[in-house]
Amino acid sequence: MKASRRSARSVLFAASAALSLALSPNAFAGGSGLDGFDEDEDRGSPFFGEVKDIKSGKSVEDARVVAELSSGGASLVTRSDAEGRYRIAGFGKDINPDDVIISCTKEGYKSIDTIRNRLSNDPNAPIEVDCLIEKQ
Amino acid sequence: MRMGNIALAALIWMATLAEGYAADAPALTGIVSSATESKMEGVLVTAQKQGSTISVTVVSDRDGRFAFPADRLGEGKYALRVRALGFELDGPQTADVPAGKTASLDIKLKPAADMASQMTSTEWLMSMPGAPEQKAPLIECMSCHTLERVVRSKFNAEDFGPVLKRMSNYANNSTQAKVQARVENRVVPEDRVKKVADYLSTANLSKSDKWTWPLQTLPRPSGKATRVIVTEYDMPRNTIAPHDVRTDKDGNVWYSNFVENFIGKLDPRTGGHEEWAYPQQRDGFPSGSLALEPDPDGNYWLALMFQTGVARFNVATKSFDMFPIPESARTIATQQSMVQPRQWKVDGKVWSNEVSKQGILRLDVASKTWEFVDPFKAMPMGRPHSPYGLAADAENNLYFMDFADENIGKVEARTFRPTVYPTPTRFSRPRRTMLDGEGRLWFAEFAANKLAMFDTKKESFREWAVPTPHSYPYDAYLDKTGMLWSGNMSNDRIIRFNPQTGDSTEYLLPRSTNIRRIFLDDSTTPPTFWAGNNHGASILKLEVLD
Repeated sequence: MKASRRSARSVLFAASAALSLALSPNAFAGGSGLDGFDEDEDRGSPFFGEVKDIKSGKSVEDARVVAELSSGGASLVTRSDAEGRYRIAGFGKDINPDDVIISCTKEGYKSIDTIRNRLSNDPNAPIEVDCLIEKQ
Repeated sequence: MRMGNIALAALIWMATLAEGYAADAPALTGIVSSATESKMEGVLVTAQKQGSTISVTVVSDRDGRFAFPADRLGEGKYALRVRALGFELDGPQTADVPAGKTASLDIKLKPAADMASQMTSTEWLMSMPGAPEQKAPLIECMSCHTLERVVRSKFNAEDFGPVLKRMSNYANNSTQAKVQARVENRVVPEDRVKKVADYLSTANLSKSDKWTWPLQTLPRPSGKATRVIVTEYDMPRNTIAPHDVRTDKDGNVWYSNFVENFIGKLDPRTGGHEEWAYPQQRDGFPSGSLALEPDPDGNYWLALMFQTGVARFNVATKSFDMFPIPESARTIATQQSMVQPRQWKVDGKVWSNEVSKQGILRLDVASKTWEFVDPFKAMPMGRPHSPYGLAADAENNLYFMDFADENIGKVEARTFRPTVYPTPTRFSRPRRTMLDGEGRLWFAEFAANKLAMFDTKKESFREWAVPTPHSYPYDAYLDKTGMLWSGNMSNDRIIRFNPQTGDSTEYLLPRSTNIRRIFLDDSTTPPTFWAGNNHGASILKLEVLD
């Protein structure tokens, strides 16, 4: 009971962290000092989640996480952190998030399933995708 | 006890000296001191023979001793210069080096009349008041000048507006010796100009005759950082802006000239210089080229910036093949800063970039035709991108640095399929890169003040913070011994970093030096560092003595 409440809290925390990162204005972030940009207003849904070992339930760090267009047209690649978490800032808002496939791989593990959870009905709302993998 | 130690040290020193005399006695040696320090460590002492374009710099050790090896200074009269923040040379100003004999000469320093004029941009950024995000835009200023002129200016916020707008309409290939205007009129957002102008008017001399904040400075070199020889080769014109520099198998040094339509060659054995002009591609547009890259034939390719297109210099015939961008595909902003021909024999293709369209170009060498690739087609439109440093793997797939943002990108040669790898640090602005034999990209994260590695096989990153803040590394290069090198436009220091241990040494250069591309000549042991002084019309060689 205690354990499940803790994990629910950590999911909520992850969601708010992902949101604040996605929505924060990035003053002077790119380009030259004078022609930078203020916000990524054209950004589509960001993806975030956790990579877990299905047997132990433990998070898996340094797994390769790919967000790929189902057309095969482009990929974004990152890796899970020390807590097994990842965050992918996402494609443009013209890309339907349903056309984005999230997959996770790690050497010595077999990919089992992904669990997808859209956080709101906003078309560009963050999408939580947990990856379940199994140690071989 | 203490006396005993000193006596022992003296004995060892005398023994070393005696041995040194037998093997390689220095040409010129002495002690550096000032009224406040009897033995000054980390003072750069430069000797330049009268009439020569070559100057040699050594650094005093912890006993205050400097020593020029005999094979570096021939017989003759030398002008002496020093670099030690807060000090200037009191005397002597010259040294006579006799043939086959060691000249002894102690050097006296006096307090500098104007210490601020000796500070680097890094030190100004450390000293200036304000929040990091207020200082962040200033890293662009260093493309053309140091920050000294910013902090010494007397502009108020209102005056600064037009100045900043004018600055952003100069071409990035501008130096103080040759300022070039962009043809395209860049309109910068008023609110952003105002924000920067407001800030700068609080960090300059618009309100008082002196800076009201303390000047922060970096320490003089010590220990390992004094074990180095720097040789600087002056170019024959002050307008020559060596940007990318590299040696060939015969020991010649080739460079791209950032502001003039030439490729140049230096013979470091003699200081001899040759250059070859390529034809003007676009009248009325800024001159000069940025990237210089070798191909498998040993020829050099240049990215022609606002002249547009790329050029191949045939080293045997000393002639150019021009690969222009067709008029129909050009705009007034068209700019090719990069070229990557290393694997062109695989498929007959050479990679380049189109800065104004934030995309990639690929040249078919035989037909001289171009293809355009937008690797960010599926990405958010509002975000700036800039494919910059380029590397090609054995199949001529492209890896690129997204200099305006935070990504390493890959474009598959067969399909143009893009893969984007965000760096672990956000808004890192990866700049130039080299691909090593194990498929690892070593690169500089300009805005993050980090050096980094991307393993293309494991698709994973490592990042290391540069120890000195506000260094803003431009490039990274892994030498054959596994040492990672970097240079920058900010603090006249070359860093040698050991990624295995995390140890680093920063070597100070003898004068203000705007470093871009760096190169390590692995044919020597230890490897020899080379770079251009982009604003100072010289080429530098740095040799580590340990």
